[in-house]
Amino acid sequence: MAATLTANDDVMRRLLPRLPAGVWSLSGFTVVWFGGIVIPLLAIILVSFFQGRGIRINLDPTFLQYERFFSYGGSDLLARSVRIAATITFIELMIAFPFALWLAKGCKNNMVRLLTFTALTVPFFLSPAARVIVWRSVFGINGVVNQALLATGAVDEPVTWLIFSEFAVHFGFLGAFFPTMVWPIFLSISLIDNDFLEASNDLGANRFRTLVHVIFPLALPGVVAGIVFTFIPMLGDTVVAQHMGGNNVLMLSAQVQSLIGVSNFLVAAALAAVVLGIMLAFQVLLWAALKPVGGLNEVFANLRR
Amino acid sequence: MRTSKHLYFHLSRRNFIKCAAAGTAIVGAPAILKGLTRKAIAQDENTIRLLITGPTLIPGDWSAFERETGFKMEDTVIKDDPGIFLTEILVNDGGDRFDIIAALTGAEQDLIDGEAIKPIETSAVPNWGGIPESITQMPYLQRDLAPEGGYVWGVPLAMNADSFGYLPEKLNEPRPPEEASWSLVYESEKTLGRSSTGDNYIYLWEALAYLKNTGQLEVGDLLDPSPEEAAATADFLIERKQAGQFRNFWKIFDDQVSDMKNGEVDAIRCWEPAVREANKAGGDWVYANATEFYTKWMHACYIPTQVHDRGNLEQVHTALNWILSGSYAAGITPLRGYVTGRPDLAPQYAEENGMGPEVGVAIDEALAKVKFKFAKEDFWFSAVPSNLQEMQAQMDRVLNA
Amino acid sequence: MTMTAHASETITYAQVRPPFWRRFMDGLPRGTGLFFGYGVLFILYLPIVWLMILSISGEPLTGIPGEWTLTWYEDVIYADIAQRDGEAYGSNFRVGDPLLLSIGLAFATSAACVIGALIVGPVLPRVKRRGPLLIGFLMPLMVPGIVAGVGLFMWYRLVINVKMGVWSLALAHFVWAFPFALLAMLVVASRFDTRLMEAAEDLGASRWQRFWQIEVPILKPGIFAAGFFGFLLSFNELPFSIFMRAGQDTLPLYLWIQSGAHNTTVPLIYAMSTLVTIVSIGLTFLAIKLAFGGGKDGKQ
Repeated sequence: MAATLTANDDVMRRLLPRLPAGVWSLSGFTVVWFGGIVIPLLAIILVSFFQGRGIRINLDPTFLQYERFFSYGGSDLLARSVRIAATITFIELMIAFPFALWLAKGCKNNMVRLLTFTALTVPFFLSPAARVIVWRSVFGINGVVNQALLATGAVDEPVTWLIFSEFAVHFGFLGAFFPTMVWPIFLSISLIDNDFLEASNDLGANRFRTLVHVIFPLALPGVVAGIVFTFIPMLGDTVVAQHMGGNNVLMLSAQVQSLIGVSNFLVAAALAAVVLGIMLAFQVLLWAALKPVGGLNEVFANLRR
Repeated sequence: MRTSKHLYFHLSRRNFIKCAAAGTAIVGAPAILKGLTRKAIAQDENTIRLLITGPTLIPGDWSAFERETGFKMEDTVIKDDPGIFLTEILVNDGGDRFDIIAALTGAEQDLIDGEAIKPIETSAVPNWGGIPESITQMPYLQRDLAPEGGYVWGVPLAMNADSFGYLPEKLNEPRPPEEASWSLVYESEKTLGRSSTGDNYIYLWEALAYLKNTGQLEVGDLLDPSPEEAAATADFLIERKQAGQFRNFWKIFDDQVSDMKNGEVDAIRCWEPAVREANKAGGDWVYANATEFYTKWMHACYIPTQVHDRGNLEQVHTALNWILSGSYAAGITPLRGYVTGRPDLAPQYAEENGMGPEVGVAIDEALAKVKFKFAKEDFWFSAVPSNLQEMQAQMDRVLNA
Repeated sequence: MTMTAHASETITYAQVRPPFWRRFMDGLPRGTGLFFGYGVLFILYLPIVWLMILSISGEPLTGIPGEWTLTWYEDVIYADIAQRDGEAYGSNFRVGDPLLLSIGLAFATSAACVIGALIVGPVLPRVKRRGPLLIGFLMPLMVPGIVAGVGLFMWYRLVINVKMGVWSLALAHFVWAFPFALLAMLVVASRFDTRLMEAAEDLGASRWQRFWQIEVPILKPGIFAAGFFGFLLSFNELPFSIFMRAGQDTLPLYLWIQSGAHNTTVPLIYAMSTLVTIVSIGLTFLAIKLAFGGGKDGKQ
């Protein structure tokens, strides 16, 4: 791909119509990125089809690593991880979209907006573990919630499923991944020209129609980015499943860590290949879902007025 | 058009690359400077650079070491997962950057195979001679430290015989020195839903030791379990997990302490300092004298091959001798409760240096531990058993169930 | 406000009627949207406030405040600066250097992300077959972090045979942060009307002028977002760094390694997090105020 970009001007002009500017830096960057990053990452997939122990690998093609991965409960793990991450991503989207819309178009007080942004940013600086561990003492058997429930007589015995359970894992993710959804959606909504909304109104559309037919399509790049910003780091998160789930709810990255921890690089590579497959499938789904608006490819295309 | 394109390229490149270079240089300067200074220090032969997998085993600070040996100590801590520290040493040439490698015993076989470490000349480490027989004579320890063809590969840093913590009053169990059974962790009705153990292969291995000692499983070589034995143990743990035995599977020290402090469990496989920590908040936890077995572990120090070409072998030997000295024992044992290679040297050192009576108490406990707990036959675990990956995979199966 | 105005609405509305987009959120969705939004923010901040309180408590792990003490702060700060005389100091917790390295790397990653996103972002929406390119640029997102880190490490160490160092750590951070920065830039760049550039060209603007006076101002939110996410993602990056570190400690790496210790670290992490929170609130507020141009009425 990259090589053809630099081949000659004609090819370039055909690939990059109307904008020769930036072609050189783009193609240079692309060559470096693909050579230095994408190829090593693809090599991981290749390696997953070999055998060996630790870093000693013999070039003997096999599906052994995949068999191993699935025989250790890998399919449950994947299903569970994707289910939890997708659930939370969906909830975050439902909450974040109106919130971002309000922040971008509805909030009239600049100070409130500044403070909200600050509030959405500061948690990024904190060690994720620190934020999560606190909940253990809130939801634990002797925790604040249980003490309150016992005191009010709502329950006779402490509720044990508040922590080290799927509920706890969901709850732990909920707060932590809110800002990552709000930010990109806010960014895309704030770029929508107010004239569009006014025009929609003048043409007789009510709020709902404006939302569905004007705002949402224009905010789509932000929504897609928000889903990526939330879903991907959530799949990569280790602390919530560890501290809130107490390892009762094992998730993907904990499994990756344990495989790498014992030099099981090949099964880890197989797992990575499976994850890559899921991600690509996810993109196909997204593409299908976005087909009415021109497919995923069109989401990041230039706006044509 | 062609020339103007060229111009744009020129401008854009100048712009981007200049910005990149300037930005990176300005804001990355502290980081890069730090890297450079680190390198500069590394060339000083009176600086001992230690790669250590157990941050706990650093004695608070190295001032005593620096005072008594005249060298400077520079420690780098690395995660104790074998996949991570073995890669750092074997693939990333750790020996180029470190003078001593301290890691859990059992890992040395891979280091020997990879020619990353060389045997230690014990005559250059005078304190080696006085290490208690009860430690050097252990079958597993022999394989680790002592002679493989007459070679000694490692010097003990610190060790312990682990068991579990429990609440004697609540469970109506005897207090130490009377013995308690590991069944409190694995299958006692008294602790159903209120016990906990760790989340990696070591804790699967312990369950295997439990099954062997209670006669529930025929085990060939406990020191090197087969994949089938690991699978059978996993089946046992899964059955117990589904019966609701375990509250959780902890990962880190603070998980253990918060489980104990927050009343989540009544019995927990934990590290010895966790019991002390839990009792600071007024808990009634005791660390068991186990009926069946102890999980004995040791961190040992190894000399990387590269040291022999660097010309600071003498300094490294002196440093290792300090680790076997009374000074290190008097420093680390009261702090963590762990035993060093020469606990017997500590009382004299403590007296000479006017240390408080609590040091004496801790050392007495350590000596008693060597006498009783370490004398129990089972079992020394290795950081890298032959079927490490199988064992971890079986533990993952337990967690996934 | 809307409720009290309701009665007289029919008479005065037409005259003082605010623009439609101002009214857009006035009615129905506002209450619910805000309730949930700030509700989640509350869930996010409750533990942060709680850990601040616990950080000055004697027994933080029980989760019950009390026995006020500053000993954890002393441990965090003191262990870094000096050592107690004669007595072994219990805390090995030395976050100074890792914190410095993390900040340095975060700035470098941020700058690199802005530059990379500026190179790719504005052009990509105009490339016809951008699918494979986009997937290539987003590739690091689709592979679990540690495995990607191992893959890059093995590639550079064993295949290309270079030594790891600060550069590899910086590369790891860039690889992780860049796809996010690029996405943020694309959100803005896909709104870019190319006819503006053509018009400027027709009016005789040089490429330099077009870049500085048209592209950069229009892409400003994207530039800011790219730098912003570059910084934040780098600051908390762990998985990619594990194998690319070569003896360097960033803050997340350091905390991760310390979590393997057989001594308590959580109270120290609470104390440190409190300090980080207090400092970052001030700095973030300033940064956002600067980036959004302060008193400007929304950025449209």
